[in-house]
Amino acid sequence: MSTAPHDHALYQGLFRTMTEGCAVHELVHDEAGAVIDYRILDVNDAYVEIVGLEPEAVLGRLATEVYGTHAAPYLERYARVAMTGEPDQFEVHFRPMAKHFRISVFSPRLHAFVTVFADITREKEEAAALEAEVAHKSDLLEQALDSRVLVDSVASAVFTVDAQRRVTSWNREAELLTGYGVDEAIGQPCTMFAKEPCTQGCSLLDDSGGEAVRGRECRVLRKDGRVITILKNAVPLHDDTGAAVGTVESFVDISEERAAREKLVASEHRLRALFENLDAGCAIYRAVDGGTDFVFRDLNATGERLEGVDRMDLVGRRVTECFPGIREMGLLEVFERVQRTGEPENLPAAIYEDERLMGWRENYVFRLPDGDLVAVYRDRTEEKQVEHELARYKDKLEELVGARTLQLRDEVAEHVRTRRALQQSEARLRAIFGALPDLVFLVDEDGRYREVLTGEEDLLVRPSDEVRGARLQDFFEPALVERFMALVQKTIEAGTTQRIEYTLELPDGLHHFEGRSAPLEQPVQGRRAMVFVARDISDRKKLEWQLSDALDLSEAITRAAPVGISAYDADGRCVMANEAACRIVGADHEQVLAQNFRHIESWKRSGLLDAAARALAGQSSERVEIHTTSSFGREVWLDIRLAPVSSRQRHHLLAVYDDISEQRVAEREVRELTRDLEDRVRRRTVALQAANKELEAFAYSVSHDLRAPLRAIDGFSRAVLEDYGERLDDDGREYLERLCGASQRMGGLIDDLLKLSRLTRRSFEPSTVDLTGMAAGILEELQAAEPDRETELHVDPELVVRGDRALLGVALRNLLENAWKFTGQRPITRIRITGRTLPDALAVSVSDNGAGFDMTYVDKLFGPFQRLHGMTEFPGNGIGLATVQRAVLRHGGRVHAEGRVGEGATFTFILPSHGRGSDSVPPRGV
Amino acid sequence: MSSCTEHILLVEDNPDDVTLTKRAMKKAGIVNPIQVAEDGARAVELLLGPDAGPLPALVLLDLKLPKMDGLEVLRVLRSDPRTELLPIVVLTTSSEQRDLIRSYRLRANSYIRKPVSFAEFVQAVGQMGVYWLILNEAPARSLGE
Repeated sequence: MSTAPHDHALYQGLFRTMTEGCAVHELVHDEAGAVIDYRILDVNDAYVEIVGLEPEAVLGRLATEVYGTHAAPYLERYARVAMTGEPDQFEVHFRPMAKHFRISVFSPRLHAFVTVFADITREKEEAAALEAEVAHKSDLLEQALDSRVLVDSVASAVFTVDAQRRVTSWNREAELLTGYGVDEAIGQPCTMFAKEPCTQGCSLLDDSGGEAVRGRECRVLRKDGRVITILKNAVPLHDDTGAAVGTVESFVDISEERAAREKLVASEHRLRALFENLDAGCAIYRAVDGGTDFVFRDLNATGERLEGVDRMDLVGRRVTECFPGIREMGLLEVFERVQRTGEPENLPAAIYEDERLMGWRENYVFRLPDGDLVAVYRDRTEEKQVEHELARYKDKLEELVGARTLQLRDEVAEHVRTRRALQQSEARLRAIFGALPDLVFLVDEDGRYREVLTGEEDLLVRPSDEVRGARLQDFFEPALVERFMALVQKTIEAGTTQRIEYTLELPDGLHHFEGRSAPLEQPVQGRRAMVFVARDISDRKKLEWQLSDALDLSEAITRAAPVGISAYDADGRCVMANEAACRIVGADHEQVLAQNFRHIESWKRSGLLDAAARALAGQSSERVEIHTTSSFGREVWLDIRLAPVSSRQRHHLLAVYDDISEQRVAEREVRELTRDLEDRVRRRTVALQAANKELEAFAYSVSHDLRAPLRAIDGFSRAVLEDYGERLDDDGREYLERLCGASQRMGGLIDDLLKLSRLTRRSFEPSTVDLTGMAAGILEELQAAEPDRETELHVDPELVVRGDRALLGVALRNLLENAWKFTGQRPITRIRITGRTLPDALAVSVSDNGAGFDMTYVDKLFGPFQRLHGMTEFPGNGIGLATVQRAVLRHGGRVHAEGRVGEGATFTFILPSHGRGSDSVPPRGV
Repeated sequence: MSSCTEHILLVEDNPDDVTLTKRAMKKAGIVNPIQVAEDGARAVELLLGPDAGPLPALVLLDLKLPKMDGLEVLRVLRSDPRTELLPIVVLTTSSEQRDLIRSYRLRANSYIRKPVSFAEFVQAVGQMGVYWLILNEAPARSLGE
């Protein structure tokens, strides 16, 4: 073997540094050429470390020396490698070192060999441990294999089915999950536990070709009816020939996981809906470029609307690309910060602007747990615009206000000046006006008006401007002018105050004036003059006239008043009495005036004197009603009012009285009459009650005693017929038969009479009665009794009244039975029940196309025992319609009939709709 | 079940009705002996008096009776332990509700109204007899003693 020098160096390096221990040896032969030992020629560092011998102790030495053993270890194997060149490998356990080595041997040349040691102690130990565990487990497994312990202790439900899908084993968990005990499950088809039919074959036996099934979700119906969701595995079982013999199935209850999952999905949906319906814009981003830019992940509908974008265009794109203005707006900075710190931030309204859109947005930014960023934002553009506008207007307004304020200040100053001047001049005039009454004139000696001062222009014959400078004769008649001029001269000449009264025609009628004049000391424009003050005294004049009129009138009224009026002074003397007063007490005027009420006997007796004292003392009016005999002998009832009156500081008593004698007498009579009437009613009621009792007793005895002989007649006739029939001839027998028939009819008659009597005696019990239903029921009964009759029946719907159900039932039944009876001979029976609403009443008619009747006898129809048809033609006892009438009368209604012979009849009963029966009406006799 | 030899007590004052009732019973095939009491007092005496014999299988009681009326008889019989369970059928002409109600209140076993028609009467008596004398199980006699 030759190697190039550089190869040699390479191998040397490799040899020294390799991690396996490596030693080079050569064989040592004896004289006979047999291999007896080997010599160690070279070792590497790893060898030194593994074996623990220094190179000096081993190099050039024999193995027996180095290892201290009798024979060189593995000599035979090594020699074979060194002699044949076939490499070898084996593992050894060095007990002194408690180490395992894998030794690889190869031969570089004849008689030499190289050993490579690898320390495999750890591998060996691990393998041994594994082996021990496996052995242990297989032991356990073997022990448990045939027992239920294994199957029962697993956390899954496990069961097996045979080829017919019948359960052959069933573990504890399966019992718990399904609620079926092992005894109940064994032998049952496994499909009994399935909630739905198993459309996908889980039994592997038929459709899945024996493949195992894993992770199928099914629903299982528990024994208690609860449905649970399970996740199951199934593995087919085969026999030795490979034929399917059954399945092992295992399952776990995942109902809760399933429910939780569904809840999660629902919650996701809810959140999604919330997101979509949020009235704020909402965008979700994911950070890119190390959190310096953000990609759209989602945007809600509000966001789409606000920004005028479609979310599909945005998702996946960068926000800086879609909204280039975001950095200027300051929002990107916020995004970066929130992304970094996780602290939510609010960016108050900030303006966003790019080529496409401009607006104010308020943003709230936060980070989701998964790192995504959410921005919720609102459009504040409008608010901002309004704010802006407001600010602009405010400035302008302030400017305007400033200018206006200055202007106003000037104006006010001007006003103040003007007003002060005016006030000064007005004050003088005002003083005159305030001091003088109504009209003030300055008139000069020529009768010319020099000045007019008045607040009452209406009282001037001309406007004051025209009056100034005019003369008296310009306005007044000559006679009045003369009077005025006389006044002027007197005033001015005599220098004294004068007075005058005069009347003027003014637009609103005649006015009376009182004028006073006084001379002026100073001449006016060179002429002597006077002041003339006129006052309108029309109102005073009118009052005077009215007063005198009123006095006349009141006297007339007092005199003629139909009530007595008299007045007395404080001492009780009569000072005044009118005609009625005299008439009432039955005296003449002088007699009345001569009276003093304090001494009138009847006043004392009747208590009137006390009332008078009270009225005078309390200064209040009193009202009393007295019944007395007057001082003049008249018996009177008086309704008297006494009132104190004061006239010129003197107190009087005024008495006003009504003669109510007639009323009172009438009342007394009425009271007496009423008492009498009540007595009579009471007596009548007692008599009626007695009669009623008697009637009841009568009815009772009719029921009892009248029927007894009838029964005897019938019974004994029958007895004769039966016992002695053959001794009688045909006539005799027929007579007896008639006797029986008659007594039975009479029995029927008595029964009907009793019913009628009971009808009137029973108490009235009002309720809501459905006549439609009632009539239909009765007609049904009648039809059922004679099903062969051809009929056309009609009942109006909703005939509902308030009344006594039993009474109305009897009435309706009688009418319908009559109608049915009298139509018996017609080919078609036609009966109609119709209703008609009247004011405060309901009219119900029963019409038929039966035999009808002659209207001549209509009055007899409703009397008891009245019959219009022969017994043989239509049987009956004539009580039915009487019964109907009784029943209707007790409702406060009435009944009438119309008919024509051979053409049918109509019976109508009218029930008042207040529904009140004659409860209080005493029962009528039969 | 009662033997056909046990007697029936008929409380009835009207001799016609007695005759007819007996005849109706015969017609209806009821052969039990019939004892008659002409008034209420007599009926009570026969059932509860000192000389009272064995109790009848059935009492047929009219309501309108001299001396003591049927309702009073009922009241007396029902308040005595010996007759409180005795089958008593009210057989009367009255069909007044209050008679019916009072009779049942006083624990009459049945209430039958005598029809006017004898044929119907025979039928009614026959049915009554079959029911009370043959079909009905009356409580043991000793109970009342």
